[in-house]
Amino acid sequence: MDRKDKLQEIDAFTQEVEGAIDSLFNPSKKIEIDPVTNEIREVDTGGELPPDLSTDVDLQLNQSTQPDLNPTIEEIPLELEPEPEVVPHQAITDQQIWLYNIKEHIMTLEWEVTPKTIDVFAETLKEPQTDLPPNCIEIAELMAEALDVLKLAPAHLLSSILPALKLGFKALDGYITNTNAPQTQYDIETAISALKNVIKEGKDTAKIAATPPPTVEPPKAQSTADTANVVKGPATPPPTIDSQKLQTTANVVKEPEVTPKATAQAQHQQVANKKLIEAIKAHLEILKQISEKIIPLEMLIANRKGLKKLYELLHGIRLKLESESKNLSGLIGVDYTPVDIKRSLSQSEVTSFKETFSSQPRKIKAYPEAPEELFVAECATTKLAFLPEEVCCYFRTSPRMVKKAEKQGRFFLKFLKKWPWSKISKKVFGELAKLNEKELQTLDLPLKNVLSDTTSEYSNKKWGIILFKNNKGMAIFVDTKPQLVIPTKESQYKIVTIKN
Amino acid sequence: MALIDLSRKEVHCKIVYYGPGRGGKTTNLLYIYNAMNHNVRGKMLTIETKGDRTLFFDLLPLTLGKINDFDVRIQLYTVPGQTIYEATRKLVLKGVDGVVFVADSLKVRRDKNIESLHDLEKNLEEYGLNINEIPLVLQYNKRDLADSVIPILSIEEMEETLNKQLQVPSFEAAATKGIGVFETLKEISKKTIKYVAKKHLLTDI
Amino acid sequence: MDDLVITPSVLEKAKQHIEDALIKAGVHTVLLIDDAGNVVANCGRSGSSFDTTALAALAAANFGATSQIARLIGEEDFTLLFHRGKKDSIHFAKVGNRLILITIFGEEISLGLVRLRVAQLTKIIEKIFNLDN
Repeated sequence: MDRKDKLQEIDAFTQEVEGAIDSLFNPSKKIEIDPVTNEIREVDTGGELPPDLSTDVDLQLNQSTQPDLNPTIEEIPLELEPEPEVVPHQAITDQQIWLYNIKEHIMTLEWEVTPKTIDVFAETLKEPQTDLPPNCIEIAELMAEALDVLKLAPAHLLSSILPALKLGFKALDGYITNTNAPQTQYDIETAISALKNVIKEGKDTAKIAATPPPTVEPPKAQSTADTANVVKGPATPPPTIDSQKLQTTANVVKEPEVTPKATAQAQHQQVANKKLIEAIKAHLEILKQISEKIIPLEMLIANRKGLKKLYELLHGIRLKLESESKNLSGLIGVDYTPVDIKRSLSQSEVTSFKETFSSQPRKIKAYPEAPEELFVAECATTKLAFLPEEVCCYFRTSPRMVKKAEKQGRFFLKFLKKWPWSKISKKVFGELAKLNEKELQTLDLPLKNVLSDTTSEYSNKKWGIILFKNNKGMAIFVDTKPQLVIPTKESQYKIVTIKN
Repeated sequence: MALIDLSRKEVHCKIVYYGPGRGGKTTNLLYIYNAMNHNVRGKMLTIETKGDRTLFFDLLPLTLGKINDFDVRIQLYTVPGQTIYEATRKLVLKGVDGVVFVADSLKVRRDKNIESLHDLEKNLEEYGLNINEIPLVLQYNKRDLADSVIPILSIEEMEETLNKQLQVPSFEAAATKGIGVFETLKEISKKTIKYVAKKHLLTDI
Repeated sequence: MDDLVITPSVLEKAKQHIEDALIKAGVHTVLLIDDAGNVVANCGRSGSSFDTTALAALAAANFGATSQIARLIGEEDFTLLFHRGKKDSIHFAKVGNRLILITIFGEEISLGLVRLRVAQLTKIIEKIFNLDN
């Protein structure tokens, strides 16, 4: 199209537009605007416009429209302001300044995440704070570590790390401003836990974020070895929950798969994730069981005089346990079922708790020096340990033997059915071995339940132990074969004395 | 500048009502908004202020509908007139296609008219536009005060001070009563569309 | 609409608080303006290289426009704005319904510090100007 034609076309266009303007740009009604109030008035009717029209306009009706040609200044008599309260000046400690700086850095980080803002924050956290307790120092160190992790992949990690940093600040603030508040300890523990989690998760996320996308290559049906290697190589292992479970995951990684490299890697990741979730579910179940075990004890000591603090501690521990289980469930996308608040322990255990928390609580003495060796056997959920010099015989039980002993409440060596003496003598040791046949024959030992003074539920006990010292002894039934162990430094035990 | 969307066949133009503070720019728009058919005008946008002075701008969109397959829209803007709002005025003036200079007929506002016109010229220059080239009409507002005791400038005086070099169409107006409002609007709209069409459609077709 | 009454003592108090909270911390300019774009107080570096009148008018227009945007999207209002520049940055904060606090600071001042101080300062200024009614 040449220029002349174009111009003609444009002229035609503009003429049409002008025609439209002439016909459309006309008032459809006669109105007037009040110059002072900006009110709209219809001239014909003389009344005001209906309200719906005026609401279209977002102008506010003004009070004064006098042109400000000569603004007048009025003297306004002021009331005397009351004297401000004089707040006694409190010396600001170095810790408070440090805390303020941390808050400042968090507020910067909320809006700006750059290597510089992160570094400056980390520097402040690393400033030595000698007056703080170890747990607060730990929080500061963890916050600094979290910031290091944040630098690896800020875009991915800010949403998880920033809340953890804020928890850290809250805990420090709680300690520095109000050391003895009951909430403070909880905040400190929460902060430490949260920071550790985000650091761990952050490192994993950063690794995934840094992993270059897999290149898609045509499938090689024959090269299963190659595929396996690729799957093993850049695959990111799931976070360690249990080394055993991780081993299973690693095994999955090594399985050869006849698929293209890219989908093999994705599939491997899926399988690994599934395994991980199953592992976490199993642990959640265990946590739930632990919580259920705590409840009856909690209920028992709830109203006991003098045990209020213990109750609070136990209650707090259980709630935290359940809260963390709930969080973990949420993270893996599993429904959380709250713990059933009904007694889950057997009656014997409840009875034993009652015994333990009777009006005269037993004193728990620490062993002055741990023995070098102990015989250990399990009984119900308790591990029982016996001094080797007191254990003179242990043997497999039979249901008949147990029944007989239970009926009489006594135990005789003839129950072992290993008579004559020669056979019995091989089975006994220690002080018992010094006794002759006749003495062994007539030996009458009381049957004792270590966990309670009353005998009960022996029918399923598979093993028996005879303790004998200073011419006094007893028989005990247990679940497992006694094993000789060397207790470690961390071993904890409680001495239980049974009247004999 | 005009938005000409050849793919969607739309033509959008921007017309700015300029002038000294309290001259009647917003009143023009208010009148058009309230008197015009709802089909042609859209919702008027104004920045709410504590008072009746324009703080930023007022906006009134008008539509002419489909013409030769093109959707033609005209957007009317006002600027804040007070001297201190110079920077904001410049902002609103950005992308202007046509200007209505609303001059205040009050004698006491004579210098303000001149100052404002110079301001307009300067701001246009900064956008690479020439006041003598872009579509421009003058409106001498508040002519209804001729019968009152308040001294106003005569048309000749106003022409002499404002239109001597420009020689653009001028309209007498009393915006509160709607006198000259639509006449001004029609003229500037026609001029602007013509200008935009020639400038852009010629090269783009 | 109530007029905003500013007396010398009220102004002096506000300026003193601004000095103590921001200027002494190293911020180089703080403007307290009203929502019509008038400069109420100008603290900090004397002889600033930029046009404070224009800045005030534009800031007020900006807040006016964003206020309208907020309403359009169903929000009450936006009260904070921050722009990071290469050398200097600018932070805006609404103070009550009528005032805007503009803070201009260099890279040696952290954003968090400005945010913290401005948050505290706005409460104080609201009280001084009786804007918290």
